[in-house]
Amino acid sequence: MNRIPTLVTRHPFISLILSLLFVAPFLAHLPHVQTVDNVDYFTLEDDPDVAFYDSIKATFGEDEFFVVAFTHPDLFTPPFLTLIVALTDQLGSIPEVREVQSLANVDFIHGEQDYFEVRPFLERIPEDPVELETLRRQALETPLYVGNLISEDGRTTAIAVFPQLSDTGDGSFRKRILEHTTVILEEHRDLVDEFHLAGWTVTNFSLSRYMKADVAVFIPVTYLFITLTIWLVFRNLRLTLLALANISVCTGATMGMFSVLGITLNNVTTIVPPLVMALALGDTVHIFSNLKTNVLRRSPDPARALESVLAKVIMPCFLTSLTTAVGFFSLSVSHVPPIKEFAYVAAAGMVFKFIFSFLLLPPLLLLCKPESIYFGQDRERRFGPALRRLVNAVQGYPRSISMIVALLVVGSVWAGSTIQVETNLLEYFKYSSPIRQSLDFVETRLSGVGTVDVSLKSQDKEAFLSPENLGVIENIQHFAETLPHVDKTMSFVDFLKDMNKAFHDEDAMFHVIPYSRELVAQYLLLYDSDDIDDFVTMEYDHARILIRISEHGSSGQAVFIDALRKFIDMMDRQGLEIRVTGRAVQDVNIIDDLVWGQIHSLAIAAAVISLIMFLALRSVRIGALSLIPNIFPLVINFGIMGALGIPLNTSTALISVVALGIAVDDTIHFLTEYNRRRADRMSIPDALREATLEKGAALCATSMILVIGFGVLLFSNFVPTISFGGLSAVVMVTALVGDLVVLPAIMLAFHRGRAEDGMGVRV
Amino acid sequence: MINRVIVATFLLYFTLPVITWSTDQTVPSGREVAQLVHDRDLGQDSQSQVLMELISAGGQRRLRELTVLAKADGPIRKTIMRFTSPADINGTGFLSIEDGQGGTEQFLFLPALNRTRRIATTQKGRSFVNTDFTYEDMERRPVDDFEYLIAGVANLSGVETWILESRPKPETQSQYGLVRLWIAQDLSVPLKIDYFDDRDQHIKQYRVLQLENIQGIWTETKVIMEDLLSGHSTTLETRDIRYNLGLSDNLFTQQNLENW
Repeated sequence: MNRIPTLVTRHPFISLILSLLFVAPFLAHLPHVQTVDNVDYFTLEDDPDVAFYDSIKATFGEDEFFVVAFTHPDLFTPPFLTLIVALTDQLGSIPEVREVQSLANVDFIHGEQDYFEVRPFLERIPEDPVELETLRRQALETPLYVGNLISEDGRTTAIAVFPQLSDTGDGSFRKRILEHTTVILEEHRDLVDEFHLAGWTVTNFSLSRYMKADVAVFIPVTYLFITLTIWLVFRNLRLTLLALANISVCTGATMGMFSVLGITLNNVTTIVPPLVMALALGDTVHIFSNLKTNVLRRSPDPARALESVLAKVIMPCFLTSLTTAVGFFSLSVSHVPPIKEFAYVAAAGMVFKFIFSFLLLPPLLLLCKPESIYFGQDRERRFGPALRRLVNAVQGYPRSISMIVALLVVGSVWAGSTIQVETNLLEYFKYSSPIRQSLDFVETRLSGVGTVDVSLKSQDKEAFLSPENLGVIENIQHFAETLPHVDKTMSFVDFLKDMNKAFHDEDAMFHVIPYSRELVAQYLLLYDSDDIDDFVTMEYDHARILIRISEHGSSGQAVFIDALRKFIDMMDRQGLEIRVTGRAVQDVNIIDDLVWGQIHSLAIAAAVISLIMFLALRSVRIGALSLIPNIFPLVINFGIMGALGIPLNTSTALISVVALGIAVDDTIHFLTEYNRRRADRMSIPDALREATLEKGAALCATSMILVIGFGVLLFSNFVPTISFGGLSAVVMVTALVGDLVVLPAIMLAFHRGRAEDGMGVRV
Repeated sequence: MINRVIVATFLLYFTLPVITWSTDQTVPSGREVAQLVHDRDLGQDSQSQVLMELISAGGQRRLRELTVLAKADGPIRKTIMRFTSPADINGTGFLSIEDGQGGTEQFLFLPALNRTRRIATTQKGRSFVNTDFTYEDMERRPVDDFEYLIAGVANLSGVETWILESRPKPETQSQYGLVRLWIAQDLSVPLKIDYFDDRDQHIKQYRVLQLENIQGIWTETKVIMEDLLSGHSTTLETRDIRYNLGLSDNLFTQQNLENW
């Protein structure tokens, strides 16, 4: 490791060419980086629940849909009914749309004295007001429609569109379908001011679209702020340009790594570019801040001067890159692919930043005139007085500071205990976003677009012809409907009840399960299989209940699913094998996995980083001390999350590990300097003072840069990314406080305590 | 007999000597071929046992058995079908009586309810008892409701056929935009039929798997209808068909439908 500065400064051109050769293949992959048009990747790997859900979808058809809804007080008039028919037809002719369901084509099962019919509900559009009113009444009296296709007040209607999912896993069909849909809806603006689109297709696409917008903002804004920061810190054009060149190469190589590993930019991995830029700049700042004129004067030539600068920082930079990479890589234990991918590319980015900071940057520095990049003590002048005041305060009141820190920690632990584990897909979007407004519109007037499925299986063929087994389905539906946020349940039983009622002159008394197996079988002879195929197999040995919920929070969904499972466990199941599944179940499972993954990753990262610290600092005591300034920001972070009600979700779950990996960098730089002073037999207070004055400026600058790097995420369209950015920025500040204030204060407090006890143990 | 009913989109209850166009080298018009098919000999009446098998895309099979009686009453055709197996649907019956104006009245009897219901005409395009045949497929339509075109000739497993294309006239209600039939030139029996929806998408295919001469009447004893979109198919196998039994008119009434 220590030979690298010598080799690089003696053979700058070889080093430059080597680094360019190294980066070239990655940069060549840069144009192939792909963003995705969907968020299908948010699923657990090798999970039995996922497999079961997939099998249910294979049996009963894909459950993805979106609705196009609109409101008008005169819905049941010829112009609007004609519009429903036209839209149904037009939406149905969009390529990749499997099916469209609306009042125009939904089956209407109807019986009277001597006849029976199943026909499309809107087969004919009447002109006569009496007939129109009859139509309205019939729609509102059909339970299969209300909440699905028509609101209870008869003013809002929905057209459900079911996309044809591709087998290739290509999610971009959503984009094409939604674009077509927009064009079609535009034609009808004269009649309807606003159409509201909601459902997984829309949510999925919006997530990906906002994500792309994020990438488009993150990188340029990060560049802008980083340039400004470097300029403010060093006031040197050449250094600013060199820093930009270095971080561009690092970021470029990391982005190239995306396509080398076949990883796409998704809403977790979009965080990587600004993060790598900020972190890459860290090493650069540590090198730059040691380019002092006195070093240049002491050295025979610029190459030697640079060699001594690099020799001074390479070990801490290596350690910081390593610990950060470990922190990132620990996330690879996750079973959620995007988090795993984040782990890989972010860790790779750390390797790149170290390599380029010591292989590419030095030759570039040697190309510059030394007098233009080495500087005197003027930077000292800018940061010096402030740092001196800080040191005096810390050395003056170590116990008071320790007490305040202890109180803060206790308060944070208390507040942190109230953190909700929750991913609310709806709250991913800002309240003002059109998607959230539309979802709100649809869910308040019709039904929630979240789905839970209950699968009921029997060993016997035709089991679901028996009224007893149908009763099991009905009981589960009845129970589910008593739970909050359940808007609608649907099953095979609903169709049979509708048939039974139609065969009994539409007498509502007969909206019940047919009394005998024979009657069920005979009704089924009459009924077209298309619609019920979604709810029961042709063999009638496997049925499904669809439950539409308007609960978007995973914790609320978990409560609902638990209640449903408990009820099913306790009920008379008639020997049926019953299992709760559906998209919401998958979401809840992912959240569970995230939380456990978070704990798992944190444990691994903490253990490995501690080990590295012990080895690097070559002292158990110092190693243990190094944990203090790193645990402090994490505890404060959880305290803030608890106090502000920010939930632990897919993004905020990353913070602890990411923050630990980065916060530890400051500690390494600080304690390395401290150790060096102690080795010179300096007293503890003096060593702490000197370490703070020597490293303080660089630590402040890198922290500031990281605050900016994370701060850029505040420009995101996603609430979780905003939380992630904001919280991580705060962590960077608290980590700095941890190193420059908390750590020295605690060390001094203990030191004094022991000195007063007369033990005088050296720390 | 049900297969006959089904083939009979163009059938008329009528007898004409079989004319073999291929021998006199005259290409008939589409309408003439349609009329010939329409007019094939199906006997004065008939009685048969039919095995109906529903086959899902996954290969799962469900078997049903039914008895079919048919009778011509002048230009009016009447059919009564009664399921005998499986036990759940034993006794469930359908009676269809043509109205002589191109329409058909259909009645359904459910033994579990002991009730008869008239099936509304709007059911036409729907699946008949969950098979791949629709009510329309089973119905006889007047020849003049459609436009015809001979699209060519083809040899189908050694049998010379006319390829007849039929499209509904603008005022004709049909679930299909186009029906293409391969009609045995010597027998006037459709051996294969392709069904297209109103967007000209090929949606279904009918094929005769076995054709027998019974009592001098060419009878499709095994046929298949495949739904090309869902992969579902239905086969109908006719057993013990007997023609010209002198069946009584009383068998083809609502009263008899309920008399089970």
